[in-house]
Amino acid sequence: MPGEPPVVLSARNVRKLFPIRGGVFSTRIGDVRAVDGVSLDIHEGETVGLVGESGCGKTTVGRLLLRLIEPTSGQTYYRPPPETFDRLQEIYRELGPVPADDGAATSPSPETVKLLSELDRIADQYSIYRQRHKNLARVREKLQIVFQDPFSSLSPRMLVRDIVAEPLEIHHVGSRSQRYQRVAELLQEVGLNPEHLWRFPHEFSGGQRQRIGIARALALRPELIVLDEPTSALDVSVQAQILNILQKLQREQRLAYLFISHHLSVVRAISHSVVVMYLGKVVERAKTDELFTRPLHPYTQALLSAIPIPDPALKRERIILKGDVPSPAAPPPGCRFHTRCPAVMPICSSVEPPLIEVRENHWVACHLYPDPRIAPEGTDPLVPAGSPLPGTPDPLGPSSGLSAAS
Amino acid sequence: MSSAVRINSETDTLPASAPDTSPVSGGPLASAPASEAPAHRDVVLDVRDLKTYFFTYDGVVKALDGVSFKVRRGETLGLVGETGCGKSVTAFSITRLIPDPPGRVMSGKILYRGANLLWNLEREATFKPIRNTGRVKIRRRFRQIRAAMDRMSAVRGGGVSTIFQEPTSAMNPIFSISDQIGEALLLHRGMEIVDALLNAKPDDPAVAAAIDHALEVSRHGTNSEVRAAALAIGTAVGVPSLGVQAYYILREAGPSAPESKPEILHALRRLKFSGLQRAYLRRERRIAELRKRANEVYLTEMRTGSPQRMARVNLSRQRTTANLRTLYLSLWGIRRHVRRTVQNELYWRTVATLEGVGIGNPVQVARGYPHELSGGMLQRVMIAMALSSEPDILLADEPTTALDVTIQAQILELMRDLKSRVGTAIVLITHDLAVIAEVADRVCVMYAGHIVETAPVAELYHRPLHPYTQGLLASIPRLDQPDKELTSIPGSVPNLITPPTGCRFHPRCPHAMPVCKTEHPPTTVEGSGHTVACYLYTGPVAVE
Amino acid sequence: MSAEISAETAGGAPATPEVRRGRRPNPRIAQMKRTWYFLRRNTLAMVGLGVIIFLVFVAIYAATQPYPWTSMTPYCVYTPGSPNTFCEGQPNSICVYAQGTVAPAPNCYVTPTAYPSFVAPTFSLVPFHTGPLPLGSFVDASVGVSGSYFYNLYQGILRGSDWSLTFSFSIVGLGASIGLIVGAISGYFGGVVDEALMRFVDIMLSIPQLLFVLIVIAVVSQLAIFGDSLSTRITFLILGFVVVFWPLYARIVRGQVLVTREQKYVEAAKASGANSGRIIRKHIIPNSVYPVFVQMSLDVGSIPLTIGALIFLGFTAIFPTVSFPEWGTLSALSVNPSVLTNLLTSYELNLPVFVPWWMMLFPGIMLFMFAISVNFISDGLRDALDPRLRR
Repeated sequence: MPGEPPVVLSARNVRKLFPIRGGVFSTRIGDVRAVDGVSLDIHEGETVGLVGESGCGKTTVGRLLLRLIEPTSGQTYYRPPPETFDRLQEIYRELGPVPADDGAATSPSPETVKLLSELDRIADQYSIYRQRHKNLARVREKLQIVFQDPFSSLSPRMLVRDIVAEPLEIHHVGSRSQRYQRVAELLQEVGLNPEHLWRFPHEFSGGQRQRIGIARALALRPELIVLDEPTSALDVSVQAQILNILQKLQREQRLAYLFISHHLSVVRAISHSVVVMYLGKVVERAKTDELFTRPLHPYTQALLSAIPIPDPALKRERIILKGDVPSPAAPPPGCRFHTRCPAVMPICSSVEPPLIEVRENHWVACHLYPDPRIAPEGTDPLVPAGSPLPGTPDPLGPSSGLSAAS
Repeated sequence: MSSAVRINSETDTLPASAPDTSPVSGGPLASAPASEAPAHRDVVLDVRDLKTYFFTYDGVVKALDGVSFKVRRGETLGLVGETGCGKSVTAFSITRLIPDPPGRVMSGKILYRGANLLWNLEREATFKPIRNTGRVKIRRRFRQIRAAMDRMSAVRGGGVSTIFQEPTSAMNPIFSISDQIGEALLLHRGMEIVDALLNAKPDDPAVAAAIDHALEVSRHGTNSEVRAAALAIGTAVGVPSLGVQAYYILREAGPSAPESKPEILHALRRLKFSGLQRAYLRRERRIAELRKRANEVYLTEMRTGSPQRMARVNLSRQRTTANLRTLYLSLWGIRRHVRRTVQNELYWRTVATLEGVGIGNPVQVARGYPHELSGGMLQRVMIAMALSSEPDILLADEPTTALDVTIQAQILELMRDLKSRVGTAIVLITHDLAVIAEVADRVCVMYAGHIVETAPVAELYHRPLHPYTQGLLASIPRLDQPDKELTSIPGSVPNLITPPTGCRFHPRCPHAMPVCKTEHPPTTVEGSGHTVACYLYTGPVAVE
Repeated sequence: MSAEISAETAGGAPATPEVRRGRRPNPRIAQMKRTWYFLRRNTLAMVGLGVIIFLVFVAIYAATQPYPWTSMTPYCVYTPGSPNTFCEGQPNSICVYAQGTVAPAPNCYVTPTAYPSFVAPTFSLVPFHTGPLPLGSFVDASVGVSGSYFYNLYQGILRGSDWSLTFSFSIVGLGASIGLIVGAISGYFGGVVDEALMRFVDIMLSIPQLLFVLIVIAVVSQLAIFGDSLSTRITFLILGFVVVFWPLYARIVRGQVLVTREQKYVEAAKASGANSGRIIRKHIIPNSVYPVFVQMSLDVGSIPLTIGALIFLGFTAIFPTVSFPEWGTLSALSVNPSVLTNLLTSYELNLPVFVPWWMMLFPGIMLFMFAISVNFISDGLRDALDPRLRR
């Protein structure tokens, strides 16, 4: 798309299945479909928020994008040039949504074969999964990760100086004193005193440790940082400080972020676009403002209404989902959300809805929006209590097909 | 039951408006009398000037330095603050669960039902600072400490009950849910349970009539009718849990209800106890009675301040005698035989309690183990366990922090529902101001070991007075105000070994004045129920 | 639960010491000071430390002492029924045989061999009290303390300190190091490597230790390519034990590594591009040594006992002579199987039976003190180093 900054990472149909072993000889009796066909693009200098609850696979996606885990299928392209990227989008649009099972059930048509071989060529050049591990060093410098738990992501027996210098040491950047100089600079960038070089991680508070983690990620001047729930273990005011630092760094260094979190309000504050996941699949994807003012997927709507707002006077109609998240080892057939969906229809339990662009740059995977038509106006999660959400089917009406309460 | 499959409450979670049909009368989940206006309710817990210090290698951490608040009957008090402000320490100081090295409750008064839980605190340890270091040498008198812990057993569970943060690790993984909740039930309501069992009348003709009536109803009645009829059986026998069991038998049978009559009769026959079982029940009753008397003795000690040594010794001697006399009941075969009575009863009471917290399939869950349940379900189970002993106060230590957003919404819904139904006072400790806004009636904001502001919840969010509260509210990203700038409070939480002098917030406060460094500001009243500790405000000083 | 209200969360930002102007504080020294502070407060650990220091001094002292060859008065021991060619004509004297050696002179000296003096395999053969013996109790009883020889208990204990400490620490140290590396590799890589190594370890662990040591040493010493001197025998002994002891450490370390490799900092290192060797060296091993220390402290005390057991069983080839000054050996030698047969004879002949209990007791006490001091110290160190006990 013209006018948009170049793409740093583009993931297409990435899938990760963890085998479940059972029986005497540990044969594979099933799979945990942790990530089941996820596609997203991250452009330079922008933040993509990845939200979902625990078990939805968002952490795995973060690691897959960095190839810390090997995927079962799918590709992730690193910095494809704009023309190649446009061609990729065309190809994937032609191929259509990937079927649920990767096995080639039907023999593909000749055009498909041609497209697939072109895809293959592009993948050989740009996909990070096709490179050998040793050649990945250059790419690894540019893709870094900051972890959720500031308490266990720093080796307890190493000095802070060594922890932050480690990436530099691994890639043989500069001499020793030059490295330590850079470490001092990095610590200052994240707002820590260079004196803190000489301490052990356990002497710091959670917020400071998280800053050390960020400093470590910045050491190699990356282009993209995957932030895996960086503020979930932190207090509110510290969280604000960290978010401010992250935004400052993004402005100064044109960093791209993949911000993984389950805190929707934090994601809204920092992201440019948001991807919502449920049980390994993307259910909605849109620009931030669009998603939060017009959430289309029922899960997104429920998530938004579940978030408590620090204002006791604001009473809202809350959509409380019943039940717990199903296990990713045995996901429900059809749409994975149908067991908890307040707007479930008969088709939802048999056919999986594909991810379709319903509005401009707003993708949803839901049978409520079967055609790429424009969704009706006015769906606002913060509508005051009493008024139903206009435009969506009435969950309690006769056509909704709710199964009778057993 | 396969342990790889999580038990989901997929069938239904009872909606908030379900009529309460909990069979256990007078139980924790029965309807409570309508709540009166907050100001006129009596005070259940009165904490005055609580000081708790931790003695570490690096110095003395003054975690709590004079914390005072009151909890009234039936209200939900929110205790808000960030990590390190001392809110968890407050909760654990109340129940005296602070790990003794390194921590110690230093001084203060905690009045619960007129009894000072910190009576005799001064005699438990002596302190001597070591020269040239920040450390302190503590000499502990273990006899007094042991006696104090014994006294606390009168209060923990039955008076003040706690829910912890991580439900997955707060429950013992090797015992089933019914075992764990049953243990709590037996401990705190043993007398009532055993009395009901001993006075059961399984041969009463009313019982047979009730059974027939229930079978009749189950053929074509609605769920609630069947339930009422089943519970009537229980009332007829005098053992309410039998009613619950009958209800589940009938429900499982479904349309072929009359065929379940033998099952119900079998359950009934179990209530005809053999001699050994009666002896066991009598012993349990005796022990429960002794425990109750011991609790009273402890409370008297704490209330009047005079040690009741003779009474305590007598009671322990009686307990030993009761145990020794019936030692034969612990022989292997006999033990199994006699314990069955109580276990069955406790199992069905557990099922009833689990119903009350909105678990849709309580029979399965009660038989299951903690690792089979998800975090949200476990938290419900913990709430059930905490409420089963009918406490006056429930301390909830970050109950939803470890849960997902949608599950958190469910739990908060449950807590609101329980608030209206049961009427226990709740002290909700959390760092999430949004959660407080949902559930609490009044809020105390803590910073670095002091309470800086107390207010009714609406007032706090609309008119925050203390600069720290204002800073906190400004730094929360809000869903309904997306363009709000996230301002953060400059600086960081102070080191409590060397806290700032005077008001502990002054290094980070945008309105700091010279007087703030000198002495900690007094708590002043700035509105109905709204108190602040800040030199910016010059209202009348709050009286205890 | 109590871990959550540790002093750290209670104290807000943990205390960070003020930085002195101009000098960087060395954090590792500060950590050591802190560990020492806690160790000092642990009475048992201090007692243990004192004992070990005392034993080290004993060893040093013993090494400085010349061997008391000439200050011993030889005695002849007459065992009823055995040929006593050297004691003829001296009915009231006790002449001693050292097993395997022949007293060359009528005075029953035992000439020292070519071993260095501090080893002095045969101590001169005086029982604990160095005065004249109550001949009555010895002459007509089957004294048979350790075969047909006496040895000087005092010298034995003195010099045994040196050998026992050397053996224990070196064997355990080497075994733990090898086990650490193998365990770390096995645990980190997983898969086939892990399976293969662990099965190998299982096989080794299923052989009884004593027997295994015996076999290993016996086989290796048969090779006879290294010659036969004290140092080679000692080397074989140590290596034999190391071969038997390392598998346990490998298994322990592997268990801990399985936990450590899931930690986030290992993942962070991988994300930075570290290769496996670096990760194992810098991240896995330092954070997985904890259980090794536990096992080490337990094993240290058992080494001298195992050596003694070998001697007792008669596997005397590990030492140049049987009466080697090492505590385990002394304890083993003080029990002579032939006492049993002689007992029967003595009972038949109505002779008093004399079993000098002190020969077993004192080496045993020294061993006990050694083992338990090591245990106390390691307990104290563990408590002092445990990051979770925030005190």
